[in-house]
Amino acid sequence: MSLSFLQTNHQPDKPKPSLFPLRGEIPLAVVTENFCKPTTADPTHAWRFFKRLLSLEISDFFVLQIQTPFLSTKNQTHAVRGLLWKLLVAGEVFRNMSNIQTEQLLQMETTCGSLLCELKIIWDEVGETDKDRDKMLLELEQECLEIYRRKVDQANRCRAQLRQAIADSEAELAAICSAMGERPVHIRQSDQSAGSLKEELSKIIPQLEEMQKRKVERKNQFLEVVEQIQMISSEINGSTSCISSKVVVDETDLSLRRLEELHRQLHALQTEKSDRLKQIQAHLGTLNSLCLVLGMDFKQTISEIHPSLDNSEGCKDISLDLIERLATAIKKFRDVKIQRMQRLQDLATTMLELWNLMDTPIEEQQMFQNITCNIAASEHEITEPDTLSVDFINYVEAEVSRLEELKSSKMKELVLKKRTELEEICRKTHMVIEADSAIEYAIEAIESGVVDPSCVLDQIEVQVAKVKEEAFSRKDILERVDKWLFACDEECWLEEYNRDENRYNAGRGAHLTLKRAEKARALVNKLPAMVDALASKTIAWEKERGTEFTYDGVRLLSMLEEYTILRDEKEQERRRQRDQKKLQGQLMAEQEALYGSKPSPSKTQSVKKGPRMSTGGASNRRLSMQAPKADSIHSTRVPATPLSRPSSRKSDRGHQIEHDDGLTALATGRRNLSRNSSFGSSYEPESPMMRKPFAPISLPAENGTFATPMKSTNVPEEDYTKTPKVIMSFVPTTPQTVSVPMQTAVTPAPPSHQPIPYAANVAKEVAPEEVEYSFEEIRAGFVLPSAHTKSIHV
Amino acid sequence: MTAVPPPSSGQELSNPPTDGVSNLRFSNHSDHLLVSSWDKTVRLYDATANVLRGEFSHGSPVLDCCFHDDSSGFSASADNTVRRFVFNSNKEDIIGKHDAPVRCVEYSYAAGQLITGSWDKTLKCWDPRGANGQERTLIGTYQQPERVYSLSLVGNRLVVATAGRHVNVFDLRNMSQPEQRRESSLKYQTRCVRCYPNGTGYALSSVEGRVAMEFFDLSEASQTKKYAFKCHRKSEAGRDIVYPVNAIAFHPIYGTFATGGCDGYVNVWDGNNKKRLYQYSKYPTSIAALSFSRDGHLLAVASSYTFEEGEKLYEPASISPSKNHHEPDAIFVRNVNEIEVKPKPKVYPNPPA
Repeated sequence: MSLSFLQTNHQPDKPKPSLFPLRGEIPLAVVTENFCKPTTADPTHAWRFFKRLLSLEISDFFVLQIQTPFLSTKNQTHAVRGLLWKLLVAGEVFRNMSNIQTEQLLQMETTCGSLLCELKIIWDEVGETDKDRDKMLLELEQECLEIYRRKVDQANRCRAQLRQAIADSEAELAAICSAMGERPVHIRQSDQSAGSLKEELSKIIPQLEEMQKRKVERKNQFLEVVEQIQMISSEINGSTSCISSKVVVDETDLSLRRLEELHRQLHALQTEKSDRLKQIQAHLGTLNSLCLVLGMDFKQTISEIHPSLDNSEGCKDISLDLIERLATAIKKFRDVKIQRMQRLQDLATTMLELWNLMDTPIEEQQMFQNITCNIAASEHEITEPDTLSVDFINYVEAEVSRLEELKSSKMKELVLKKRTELEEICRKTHMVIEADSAIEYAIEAIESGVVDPSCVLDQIEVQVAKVKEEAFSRKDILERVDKWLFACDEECWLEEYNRDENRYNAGRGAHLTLKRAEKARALVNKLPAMVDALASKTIAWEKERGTEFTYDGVRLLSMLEEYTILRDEKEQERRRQRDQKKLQGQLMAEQEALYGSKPSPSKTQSVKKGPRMSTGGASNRRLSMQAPKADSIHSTRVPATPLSRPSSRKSDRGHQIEHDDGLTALATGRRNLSRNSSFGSSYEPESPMMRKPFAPISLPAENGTFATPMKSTNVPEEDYTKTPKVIMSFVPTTPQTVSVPMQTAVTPAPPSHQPIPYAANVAKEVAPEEVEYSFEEIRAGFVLPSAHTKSIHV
Repeated sequence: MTAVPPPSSGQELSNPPTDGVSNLRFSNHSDHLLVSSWDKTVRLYDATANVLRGEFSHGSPVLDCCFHDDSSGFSASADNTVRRFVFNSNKEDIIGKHDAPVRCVEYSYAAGQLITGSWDKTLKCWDPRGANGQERTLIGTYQQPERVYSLSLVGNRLVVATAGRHVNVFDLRNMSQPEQRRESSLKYQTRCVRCYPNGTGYALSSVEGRVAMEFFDLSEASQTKKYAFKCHRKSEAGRDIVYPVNAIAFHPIYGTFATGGCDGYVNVWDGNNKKRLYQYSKYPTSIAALSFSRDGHLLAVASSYTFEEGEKLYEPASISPSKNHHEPDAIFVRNVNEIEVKPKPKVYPNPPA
C-alpha cells in the first residue's frame, strides 16, 4: 500500500535524474520504506518526508544513511548500500564525506561505501592530498565508466545479433516458402506488434523449423520419385549400372507442381516399362512356341539372347536393345521354321508321291499322317511341338530315303522285268536282242545312279514295242518255220527208224510207232514244198522290210539253203545205199543158192544216233548260240520218253521216304529207349528193349511207329476193354474249378493174359526172372540176396 | 520247370531236408508235420508257424516216419532199424530191427501197435509200450510174398502192397494170415497204397501213371464199383509220357484224395464221382509225399526228386538245366480251399448199365 503510494509519487521524481543516476524504484522505495517506517500510520508524514527527500542535499542523504540501523533486513541493508554506492559513483557523496563518523562507517559491512571509507581512512592515514585523492577517485570513476560502456557495447552488439538472426530466419523462411511454391506464412508486419526482439525471434524460429521440416519431407518425396524415375529410365535405356550413384534434386524447385510433373513422368516411364515387359513377354511366348516347334531348348536359346531372360523372377533388362535382339531371334527362328517347314513339306510331298507310286499300305502311311496333313499348312498353322525339330526332319528324311530306295529297287525290278519280258518275246520269236548289252549296261548305270531308271524303262518299253511289232510281222513265217523244224525232226526220226532192222518186230507200242512213221513219211514228202514256200515267204518279207529274216541270229534263208543241200546229199547217199543193198541182196541170193542158209539179221546194228543230218547245221548253230534255250525247246518239242520214268522215280523216292521214315522212327525209338533207360543203363546193361517202369514212358505201338495215345484216351485200351459202357462221358464242368472226368476203364480180372503191347512187357516175358526194384531200393542200393539174376547193380 | 515255384504253391517250409523227402505226415492232434528224409534225419515242423521244432539224426537214410502221439514218433530206417523218439526230450531208442531196410511204418491207434514193413519180405508188429529190447516189443513177424513197398491202415484193416504187385489185406486182430490175398489190378509196380477214410477200400497207384480204386467187400456189387484211371501223364509230340504216382493222400473229411506224381503235379480227385476236382500248379520237381492235416485245411506237399531217373545231383535247373540235376528238395504247406477238395455232386447219373 505504501508502495503504490510511493509509486504514484514517483512520477514527479523523474525530472531529477541527476540526483539519481541510477533510475529505479527499488532503492528509492527501500529508502522511503525505511524512512516511512516510523511513520507508516501517517501518510502525511510520509509525504512530508518525501518532500524532504526531494529537496535533499547529498549531505542530508548521508544523514539518512546513518539511520540505516533501522534497516532490519539484510536485503534492505544491501539495497541501501547499493544506493549509497550509486550515489558514491555519482561522485556526489564524497564532497561531504569528511563529516561522516568513522565508527558509524566501521559498523557497516564491507561495501563500496565501506571500501570508500576504508580508502578514506587509508588515505587519511597515508595523508594523501586531496588532489591525489580526487585524481584517484576520478580514476576509479573512469574505470567504472569504462566498465559501463563496455557493457553497453556488449548489449548493443547482442541486440544487433538478435536482429540479424531474425532477419536471417525471415530470409530463410521466405526462401523455403518460395522454393516450396507456397505463400510465405509469416509476413512480418514490422511495426505492428513489435514486441521485443527476442519475442520476435522466438516467434519466427518454430515457423522456420516447421518449414524446414516440411521442406525435408518434400525433398524426400522428390528424391523418391526422382530415384524411381532414374531407375526406370536406366532400365529402359539399358544402362548396365541400374542404380545411379546419386540422386540429385533441384532444391530450388520443390513445388507441388514440380512433384506432380515428376509423378507424371514416372507414370509415363512405368507405363513404358510395363509395355516393354509385355512386349518381351510376347516375344518370349512367340520364341517359346517357335522353339517348341523347332525342337530347340527354349531356356538355352533365351539365355543365349540375354542371360537375364532365363531367371524366373521376371526379367530385369527391358532395354530396346533386348527387344530388338528378341525380335531378330524370332525372325531368325521364324526363317528357320519356314525353311524347315518347306523342307518338311517337300519331304511330305515326295513321300505322298512315293506312297501313291508304290501303293504303300495305310498302316505304314499312318505313322507319317501328321506330316502329310501339314503339307499345305502355312507357317503359323504349325504349332505342334517338335514337328520341325532336326531329329524329326531327319526321321522323315530317313523314311523318304527309305521309300526312295524302295522305289529305286522296285524300279530296278521293273526294268529287269521288262527286260526279261523283252527277252522272252525275243526268245519266242527267235530274234536276237540287239541292244542287249546296252540294257545290261543300263542296269549297271542305274545301280551306280548315273542313269535315271525311268529313262531306261522307257527305252526298254520302246524296244519291247518295237520287238512286239516285229514279232507280229514275223509270226506267219515263224509258224511255218516251226512246222518245218518239226517236219525235220520227224524226218530225222524216220531215218533212224528206218535204220532200225527190228522195227517190224511186234512189241509194245509198235503200232503207235508205225502210225507215227506213216505220218512222218507223209510229212517228209511235203517237206520240199514246205521249204520252198517258206523260202519264198521269207524272201517276200525281206524284200518288204529291207532286212534279213534271222532265226536265232541266223539268216533263215541260209538255214533253208543249207537244209536243201544236206537233203540232196542225203538223197544221194540213200540212193547209193539202196544200190549197195541191191548188190548185197544179189550177193546173198547167190550165196543162198550156194549154201542154202541165210544169216540172221544183224542185231548189232542197233540204232546209232549219228549226227543229225537233216537240220544238223542249223540246230548246231542254234545250240551253240543258245544252248539252254535250245534244250528247253527240244524238251518241249520232243515228247518225253516214257512217262513212267519220272513216276517210277517218284515211287522210288516214295520208298525212300518210307524207308527214311522207318529209319527215323527207329532212331527216335532207340533214342527214346535210351532215354528211358537213363538209369537202366547203369543198372541193367542187358537188352535195350528191356524197360523198367519209370517215367517218362513212351508207348511204342506194334507197328514200330509211335502211337498217339492221347487221341485214344477215351477209347478204352485193348487190355482194359471189358465194358466200354462204363466209360465216363464228359460231364459239363462248373466254371470255378474245372473238374475233369477221370480216364477210367474197368479193371480187368487179373492176371491179364492178353498180349501186352508195351515193349517193356515183351522184355519182361523174355526175361521173366528179372527182379523189379522200386526207386528207393535202387537208391539205397538194395539187392535181393537170393536173386539169381545175372544182374544188375553196381 | 521253374526254379522258384509260384506263390500259389503254398508256403515253403524253411530248413527243409537236405536230401530227398521219403515221407511226411501231419499229426492227428496238431498241425505238426513229421518229415523223414534221405538225408538221414527226421524233422518235426510246426507247419503253421513254419518253424523247425526238432531234428533227429539217424545213421542212414530214413524211409518212413509216423507219429505215435503228439510228443513222440517212429521212423523206419535203411539201416534195418525201427526207432522211436520223444520230441521233447530228444530221446531216441531202437524198437527193433528187420533183416533189410525198413520201408514203411504205421502206428495203429486201434490196436496200439506199430506195424513196419521191410524189404526183407516181412511185416512186423511192435508194442511200443514194451520195454526196450526186441524180444519184449516185438509182437509178431509175418512173412509177405515180396518186399513191402507200402502200407496203409484203416480201423483194424491193414493193406500191404509189395513188390510183384501183390496186395495183402490183413485184420490186425488176426495177423496169422491175410484176410485177402490180391494182385494189383494195375500192371506195373505199386508205388503207394492208401485206404479210404470210410474203410471200404483202398486206392493204389503204380509207376505207370495210373491209380486203381479197390473195395474190400468181395461181393459182386462192390467189386463192380472198382475202377482204375490214368493220371500224371503228359502228351508230348504225339507220345504219352507217363509218370509214376508217388503219393496218395485222402482228405480226412470229404474222402476225396490228392495224388502226386513225378510230373510235379498234385491232382485232387473225387473218387465217387470219378472226377478230377483240381490241379495245383506245377511244383519244381517230383511230388514225393503228400499229407492232409487232421482237419483237412492244410496240405503238405513234398516236392523232392524221387530217384526215378537215377542219380542226379542237386542243383536247380536255373543254374544248369542239365538232365543230371534236380531241383532243390522242398516242402510246401498250402491252405486248402474247400472248393478244391469238396466233392461235386454228379450233374446227372451214369447212364443205366
